[in-house]
Amino acid sequence: MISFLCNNSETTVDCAEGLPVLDWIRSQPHLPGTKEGCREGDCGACTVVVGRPGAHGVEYSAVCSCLLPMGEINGCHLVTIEGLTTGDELTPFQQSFYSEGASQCGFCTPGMIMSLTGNLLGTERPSSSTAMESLDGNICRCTGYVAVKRAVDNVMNRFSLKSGQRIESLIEDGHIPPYFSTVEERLKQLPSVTTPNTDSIAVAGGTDIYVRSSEKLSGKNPEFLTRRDDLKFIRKSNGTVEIGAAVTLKQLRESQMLAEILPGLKDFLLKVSSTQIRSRATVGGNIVNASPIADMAVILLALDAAVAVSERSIPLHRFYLGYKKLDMSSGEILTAVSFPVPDSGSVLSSLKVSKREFLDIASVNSSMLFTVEKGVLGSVRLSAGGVAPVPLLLEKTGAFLSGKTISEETINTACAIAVDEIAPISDIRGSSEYKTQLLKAQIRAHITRGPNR
Amino acid sequence: MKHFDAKLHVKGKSVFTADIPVPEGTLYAAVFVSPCAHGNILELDTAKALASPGVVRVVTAEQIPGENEIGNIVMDEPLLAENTVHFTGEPVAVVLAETRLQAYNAVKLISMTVQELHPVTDPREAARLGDFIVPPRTFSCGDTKKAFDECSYVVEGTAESGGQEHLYLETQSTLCVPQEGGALHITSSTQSPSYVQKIAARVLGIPIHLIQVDVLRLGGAFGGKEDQATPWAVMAALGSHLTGRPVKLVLTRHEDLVNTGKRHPYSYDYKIGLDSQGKILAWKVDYYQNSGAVSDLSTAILERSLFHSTGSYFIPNVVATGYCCRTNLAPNTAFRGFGGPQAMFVMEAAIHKAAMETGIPVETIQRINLLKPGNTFPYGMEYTANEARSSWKLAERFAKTDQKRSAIIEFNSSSRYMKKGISMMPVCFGISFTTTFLNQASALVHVYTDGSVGISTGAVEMGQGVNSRIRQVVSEVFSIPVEQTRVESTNTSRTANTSPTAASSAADMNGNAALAACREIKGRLLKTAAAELGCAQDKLNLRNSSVWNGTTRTDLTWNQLVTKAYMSRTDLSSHAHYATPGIYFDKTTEKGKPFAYHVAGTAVTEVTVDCLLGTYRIDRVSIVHHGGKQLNSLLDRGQVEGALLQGIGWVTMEQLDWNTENGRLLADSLATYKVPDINFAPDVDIVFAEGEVLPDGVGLKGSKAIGEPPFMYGIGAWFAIASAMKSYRPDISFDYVAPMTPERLLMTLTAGNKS
Repeated sequence: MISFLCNNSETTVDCAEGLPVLDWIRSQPHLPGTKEGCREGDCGACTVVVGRPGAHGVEYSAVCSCLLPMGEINGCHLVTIEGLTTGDELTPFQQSFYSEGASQCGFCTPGMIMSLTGNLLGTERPSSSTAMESLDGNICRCTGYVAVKRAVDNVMNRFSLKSGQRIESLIEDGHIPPYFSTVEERLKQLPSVTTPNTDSIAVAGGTDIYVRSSEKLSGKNPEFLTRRDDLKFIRKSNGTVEIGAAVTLKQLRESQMLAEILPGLKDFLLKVSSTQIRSRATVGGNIVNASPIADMAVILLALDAAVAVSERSIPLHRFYLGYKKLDMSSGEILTAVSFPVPDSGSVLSSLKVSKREFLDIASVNSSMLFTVEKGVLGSVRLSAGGVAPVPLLLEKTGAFLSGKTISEETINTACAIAVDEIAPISDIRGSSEYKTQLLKAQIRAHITRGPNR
Repeated sequence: MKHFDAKLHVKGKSVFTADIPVPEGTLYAAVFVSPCAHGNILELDTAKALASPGVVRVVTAEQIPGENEIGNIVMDEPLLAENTVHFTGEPVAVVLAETRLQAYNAVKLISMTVQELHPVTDPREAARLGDFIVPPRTFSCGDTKKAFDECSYVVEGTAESGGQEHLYLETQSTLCVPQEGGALHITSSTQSPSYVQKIAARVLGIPIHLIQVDVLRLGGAFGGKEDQATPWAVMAALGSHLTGRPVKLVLTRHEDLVNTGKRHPYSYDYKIGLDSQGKILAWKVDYYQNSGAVSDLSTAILERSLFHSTGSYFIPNVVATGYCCRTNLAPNTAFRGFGGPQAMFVMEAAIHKAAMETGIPVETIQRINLLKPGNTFPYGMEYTANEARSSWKLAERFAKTDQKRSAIIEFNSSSRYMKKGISMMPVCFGISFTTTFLNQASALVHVYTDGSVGISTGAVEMGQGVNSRIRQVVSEVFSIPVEQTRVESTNTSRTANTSPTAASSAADMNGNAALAACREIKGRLLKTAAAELGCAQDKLNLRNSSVWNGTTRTDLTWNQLVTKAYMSRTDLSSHAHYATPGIYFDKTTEKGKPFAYHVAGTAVTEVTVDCLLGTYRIDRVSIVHHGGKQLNSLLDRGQVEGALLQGIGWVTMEQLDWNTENGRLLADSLATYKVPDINFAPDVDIVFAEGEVLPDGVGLKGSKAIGEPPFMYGIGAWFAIASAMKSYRPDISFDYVAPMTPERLLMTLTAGNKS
């Protein structure tokens, strides 16, 4: 049983917890405004906003309903495009999209409106730029986005939020209907229902497993790791940063502490999936997914991270045994990842090149943690994805670079050593020759351009 | 004026085919398709699927009551494969089950044993094997042989342009509901309701009048639902016909990507001859079109490549030859531009290469060869406008190209890896279906007794706003608020024998048909008014919802007039037909006047390339577009901006690759096929310039078609990137292959380098 607020209605549903929310929305309450475009979290047509009771009231974020299991909205407020208005009125975004011609065929439009509304509800300081960012997971094939940008700017240029009264302020401006002010209380009144997890499948953010196995999961009751509060922390103690496995990439971006330690991370994470996916995808999921181009794994390798599995602490570069093979047995759960706080003065440079700069999978991504003083490199740790069966720590290249004076020769030699350390394959992300060339270019860029350029 | 549909879109209230509540008893269809690209079917076993839960029927070719043939131009395409399969994703069997999941689960239980044959994925290989869908065609003028001998420079080369997935956000969808007496009502996401109707009748072996096809709107199409919507609609119809139950068939994105055709990849050979000043004297080009396994619209698309073989330029001596090469890919099909982009890409490639080899600036060669009024195209039509030249000149001024070029030189000289580039892309595109008989449309207009107006035409609304344009012109004829008009769904029972909504011409043709119908009704109404007011009809007119006598407003309002007309037994409905005037084409001589007019414009594209990492950003595109007398600037702007980005996508990141061993599509998901997103989209400035004045009855109230031409502005992105690359590496040589992916860029930049 799953109990939640669907727009303005208390709803209890008896269905498998693994059923994608998209399937339920379109069939049961027949709310067809939420569209199915791809079922892989890549187009955003199915975007909904989910509000979850949290420490600071109801915390809202935009997510792809195709990758969202019903079990994850238990006790939550599910908002679809139909829930943004109660009558014929238009919200400011809806009005602006209409006035500016930002909607042509209309299939992607509800998803865009939901992303933008999710941004107002769930971003600390919504602005024109956060609004544009919030559309990084919405594909439109008709407009060329020019009218979309005009429409968003029109609204955001005159947008302001009364501090401390977000919901009231948004209601007053017509972005959300008045019933939103009752949501927090009504969520508390929802009957507490549970479904025993009868299937031995653990799902974290689900943003990959639901792309591959949506049909299989739709009849199951998996274990939701996101419900485990013991996996949701970001903390620093004794010179070590520890991140719980169920922390989402969105939470990583929002962490003030991480922003201080790793100043470029917040911006770089924009290149990792999209707003909707970052709201769900977890750090632990990205690591155990074991993709050879896992963005988080590559960053963490450079940071000399270790993972906690059961009672063991395993250096991340030893955790990957081969293609999609981990030092972890079935039934075990990765609970946290930790890394030493980099020395002050050290720089984390992360690069990612893909066909499309945003919301794409890397051809090659790499990270370098290093210090540099008067043209001399201190200790260097270099990692790369897309160049081996696993996210790779380039130990020899890093060791070579450590202590070297930056010069054309240093860079060329480092590149030559790196080429010996890697074994890229030719696939849809590029030929092995390209990946080799790209890694060499990235090494040069890390050294000559500094962090995150 | 707005895109009126958008008011529903923004609230999620607009209804797409998959949103329609299904009737009780609806079956869900899932299609079993060939897992291999080429082979003989040895055995097809559907028994397990039939026995699986919820399955009602598994339909295979031998159950087809009529003809197993859905070809449109050439009869070479079965609905369901028999004996042989010719592409991965070719439909073989249709499972009908009580739920969608049951249908998909059952499909997995179908087994097919195939004796695999060698798949052909490369059009040049098909050409070597002589496997053409139709015999090659050649358009020519002048004497190229003689002309090449007289040229100061002759440059030869090859080029390639890739395919392109339409990626309409709404996948192919159909709901078919049986009616009494063996009739069927098909809701289909098609651009061609009449094709679906005709082909369904053929496959079922029943008369066309038993089939009604209805289309409310499409969630994007771009040509991908012109012929490619038909098989899915017909499969649903077949399911309904055989079971007597409603059938819903909606493709998943993966199925849509793998099973349906795309823009044609082309491979080119070319030879261009210039005089010492850069004047192009001779042009020889061969188009090797990768047509896919069956004809679909390939022959018509190749024909348009031939029509646009000289792009926006006048070349006196031309031989252009096109080959429709049969390969083992899904049937490649219509996509915005319809063969025009391919022809223009290779033309620009040849000019670029000639510029590289002669040292004459590329923009000089482009500029001095632009079409002038009085020039004749190789197909015999005279170019009458001056828009190719005027848009170029305006674009130079508008985009301040001289200033920008100097600024770029300065920037590039002080930047090691970041390089800026600029290009100009002139576009001249012929408007009309090149298949002359398709240039007809019809409309049915009803004025109801309360003064509201219902309009039906053959045009399909797919986001382009054709219905808004039609409402706009109808409300102008009657001089009533646009809110009093409504465009109904496109329905074959209200408008029969429709041409597809394609070739950019739907608004022109259906709008003119609607205008004619409205004028007919208006005449009848004014006759009633004259009788009512007791004055001469020729002085009367409709203005601001009232009847006016000369410059005086009478007491007779629109609503009263309509009521009076009805009470006096006047017909308040009218049907009208429109046929584009003055066009003809003789295929025996390959000469004629195939187009009602041309649309021209010029785009200036600016880019920044990171020559270290091999990435790029498209910074800005400035466009001067000659669009005739603008009817709806919001819609026009949207069409230009949207088409432009699709064009840029085609030549930059959108990459379709097939495994040459097994013919499988590699980019078969949105994780692997990338289209431009909001972060990639450049700033766009557009100036709409009126240009030539169209004769009465051509274009819609003086406006020009706008759907396809702006797509080709996007080609400029390839050449702007190339100019930045050349700045980084002056000794670079290009292979003229689109798309210029980051991979191609980096590998081109580093080719032959040691480091």
